[in-house]
Amino acid sequence: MRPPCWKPVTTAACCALVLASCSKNRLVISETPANPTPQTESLTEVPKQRDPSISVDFLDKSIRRPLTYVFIPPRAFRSWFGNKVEAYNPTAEDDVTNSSWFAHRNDRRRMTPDEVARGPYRGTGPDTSGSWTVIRAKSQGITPGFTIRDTAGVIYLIKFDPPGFEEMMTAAEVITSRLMYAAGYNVPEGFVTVFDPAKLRAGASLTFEDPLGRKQQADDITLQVMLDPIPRRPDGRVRAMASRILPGGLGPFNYEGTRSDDPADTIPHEHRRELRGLYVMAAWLNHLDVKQQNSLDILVEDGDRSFVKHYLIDFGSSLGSAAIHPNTPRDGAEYDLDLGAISARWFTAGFYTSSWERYSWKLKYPSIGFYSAELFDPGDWKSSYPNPAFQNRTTRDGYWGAKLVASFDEQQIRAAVATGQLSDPRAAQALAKAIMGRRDLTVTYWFLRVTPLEELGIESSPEGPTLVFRDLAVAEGVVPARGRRYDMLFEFPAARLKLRDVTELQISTSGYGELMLPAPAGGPELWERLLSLPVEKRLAKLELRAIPRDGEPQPRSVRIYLLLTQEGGYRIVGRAY
Amino acid sequence: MFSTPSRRFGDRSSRLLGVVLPALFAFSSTGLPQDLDGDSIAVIERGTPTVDGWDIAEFPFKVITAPLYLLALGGEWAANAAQQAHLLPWAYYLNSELNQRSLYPTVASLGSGSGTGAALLIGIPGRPTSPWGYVRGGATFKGYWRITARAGYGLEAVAPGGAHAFGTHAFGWIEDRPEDEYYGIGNDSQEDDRSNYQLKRATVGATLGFAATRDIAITIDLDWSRSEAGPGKNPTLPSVDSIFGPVEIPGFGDLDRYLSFGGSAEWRNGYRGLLPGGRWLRLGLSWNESYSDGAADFAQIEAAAGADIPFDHERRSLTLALLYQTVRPSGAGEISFYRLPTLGGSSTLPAYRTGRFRDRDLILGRAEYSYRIWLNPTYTSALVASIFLYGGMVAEDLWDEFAFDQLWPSYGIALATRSTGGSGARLEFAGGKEGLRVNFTFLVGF
Repeated sequence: MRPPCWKPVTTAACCALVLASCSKNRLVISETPANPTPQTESLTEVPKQRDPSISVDFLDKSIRRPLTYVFIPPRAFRSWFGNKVEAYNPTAEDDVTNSSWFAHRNDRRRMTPDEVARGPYRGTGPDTSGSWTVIRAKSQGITPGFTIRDTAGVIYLIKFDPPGFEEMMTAAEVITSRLMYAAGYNVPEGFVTVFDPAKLRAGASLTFEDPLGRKQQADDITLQVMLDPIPRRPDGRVRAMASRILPGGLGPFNYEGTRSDDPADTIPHEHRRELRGLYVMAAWLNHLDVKQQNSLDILVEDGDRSFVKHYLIDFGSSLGSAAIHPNTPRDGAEYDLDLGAISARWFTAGFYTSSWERYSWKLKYPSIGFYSAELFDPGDWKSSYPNPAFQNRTTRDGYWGAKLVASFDEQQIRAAVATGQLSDPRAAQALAKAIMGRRDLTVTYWFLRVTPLEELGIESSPEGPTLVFRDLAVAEGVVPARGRRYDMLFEFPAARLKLRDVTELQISTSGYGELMLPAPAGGPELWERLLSLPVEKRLAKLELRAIPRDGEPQPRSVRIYLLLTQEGGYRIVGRAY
Repeated sequence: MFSTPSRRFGDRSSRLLGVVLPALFAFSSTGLPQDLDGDSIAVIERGTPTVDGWDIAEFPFKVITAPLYLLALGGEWAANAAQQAHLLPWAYYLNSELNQRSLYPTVASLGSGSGTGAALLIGIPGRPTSPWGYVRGGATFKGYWRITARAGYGLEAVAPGGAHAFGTHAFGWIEDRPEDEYYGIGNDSQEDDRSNYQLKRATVGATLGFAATRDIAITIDLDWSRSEAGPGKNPTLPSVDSIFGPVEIPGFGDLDRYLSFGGSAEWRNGYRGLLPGGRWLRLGLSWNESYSDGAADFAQIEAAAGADIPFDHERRSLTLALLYQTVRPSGAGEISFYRLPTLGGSSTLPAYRTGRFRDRDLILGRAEYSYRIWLNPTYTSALVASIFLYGGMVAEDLWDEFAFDQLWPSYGIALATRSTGGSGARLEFAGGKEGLRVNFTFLVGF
């Protein structure tokens, strides 16, 4: 019998190993401020309007791209064995700078509950005392939608709850937008409003597109007919969500690639930390409809400079709401059309299963739909269909997003829930509890996957330089302070210094701890020689990895880059999780 | 506090790590601006937009699959065009407009092997507690057609478990089946004898049905029918009369007229969801009195029993079913060949052609394991996969001739769409002793 030929196998394995070792991830040493996302480029001409097709977007991401894993095998191997490319735009603090995409808010300065509840709002919502002029209308879908101008001349988009689920969509929309804003994302102003439908007036030559795409003339009576399916309150008024129309709209941004007509848009969106980290926020709030059509680029004129600002819009499919009906346990656990899950079930004869399939549930509060912490898997949550930025996320991006989630406390969450104006206090209580539950699960999941040391600093003492830090996993109660151990590796190649140890550090219950760092010991000659070296040779690296307890995942280490200073100490010049 | 490295980290892997890491560290720290000073340095770990080994490995596959990519883009373009033209809303709109005018169009077929077609119902379909009536006509691309008229009160078909206990209606239908296939009579008929015939039938009658209990339904039928078989219309197949002699195709060319009286009793305990569950027993009897020369009077018996056993939170189900049919002549004369029970086709033996086996007695066993592989977000429709095994045989007298080794096996897999409305389609890949077959059928007929 001919012996098996292993050569092709070993060759393929070697190729796979070589490819797996290839990575687009680099250590970059640069000048500060290390902001790789310059936002100073002013527009020379107004960018074009974008109007991407929803059906093309859905088919492309739900069917064509998953099939490339079958037809282009290296892509499948890459996803299994290759290192994911880290975001292109983290700073030396492994964070992002404030930009037209994102501005640090609650994670930098704790907002008061009132500030969280106010969100981005400058005004108080549409004026319900006077009549509203409808300037655009849509009749497609389960519920109608109007664009109105109130007596103050402010233009709003008006949306309604689906029949049978009063308060569900409108509450979800405003609560999620408040929390997204507080986290740092740009969102439009939105309000829950209650108005008298008799005060709706059709604008001059108002037309609307019917479900068949035909332009129809509309008058006051037509508007009342369109409002027929909308639930009324006992006093005849109607509850709606009013979202202030953002002027200067340029259409949505894509979650991959760049906008070619925006010179400031230099980083592919799928490699932006803010958009990859949005996954964690979206998972927390079950913001399922994170597609490009639910984003908006706005042209902002600021003195003699103009630039594009990027907004997230339409949160109607979030929390327990799927906009036109309540969510089910399936939502968030599987894409609408999940070829991977379908294939897995098919080829395993149905033995592959997801937890939602065995979950018995009943809708307790129609006004909040289905939103639960019970089935929530923060690392495996799925939007309605694949989002390129989410698919490229790494653990570092997830940790970044988790810090945004962790920045919210119970009071802030309750304040946000209150803006939903749920009439049943038990429903509001249940919703706040579920949001808190998912917050805790999110924090636990991501904080166990890195070594979450923050508030880093170097303090000098007679014994030598000391690293001070705050371990967020301890601070958040994810792990106990007592017995917290770290695997440490200190490397200073120029000083021929390399030390490794596993030790238990004294950590306070609020997460604060310190670690004495080694300094080169070799007399004044060594110091003189080291300080005369080029700056990159004066770099040392401290790698700290938390030792997991039984059953916990192995976390990534935090790499802290230290520069030997003239004073004989160290200065932190970079870190990554 | 650091101390001397412990033994744990003095092993070979950590020594290797100690060599590789500093090397990588030094290697990756190139490209530094010359004028950096210590006050302005920052170290960042980030991704970079460079080509890596995986990109190179993917490239040839991208070239090879470029036509598929273009095809996909074409599909996406078509989807976009359909969306822009509001095709789906138009289809819904037209359907609802027709429904408002008591017109109900459907895509359907006329049984296994008849091909896909369209049907239109005009009138009011059966409803629980009021009079109703309709005319339904349909045709398939193979030239099969049928027109049915029904009118009655109560449910059209009294099903056990329903809330309404009574239904009666009169009916009449006429159909033309131009390409029904015939292989001879008997369990050992040959595939090589494949031929076709045309069958024209017309029936008028009345049905009375009532649910005796919540689980039991009883129906009584009286009908008069006329049928005639002639040469087949499929030009790619020989007609039956060119393959078989007159003795082998009893009733061919003759006009059959029968008055039939019968009834059925059905016990069904369960429900119909996306995956059906429940058990059933059905017994049907009819007596057929001939009014034609040479045609025998006969009794027809059908007995069926089975169970759909859902499990694992209704994600999966096991179906076990048994069917027995027989026609028993009384007195002189022949029973026309097209009145004999048949096996073959998607609802009986999927690995064999429709009508592949026929004789006076038939037995069919079915075991099917079904499992849901996709559920839509609103839990109203699903894609269900199945693994099935069928075994069946025909015989002149099963009691004498039955043997397990005489059963024709049919095994395979299937994919079916199901919705809470009950409609759907099924795609089968089946294998048997005569090779592989692919069947596509709609789960509703006309």
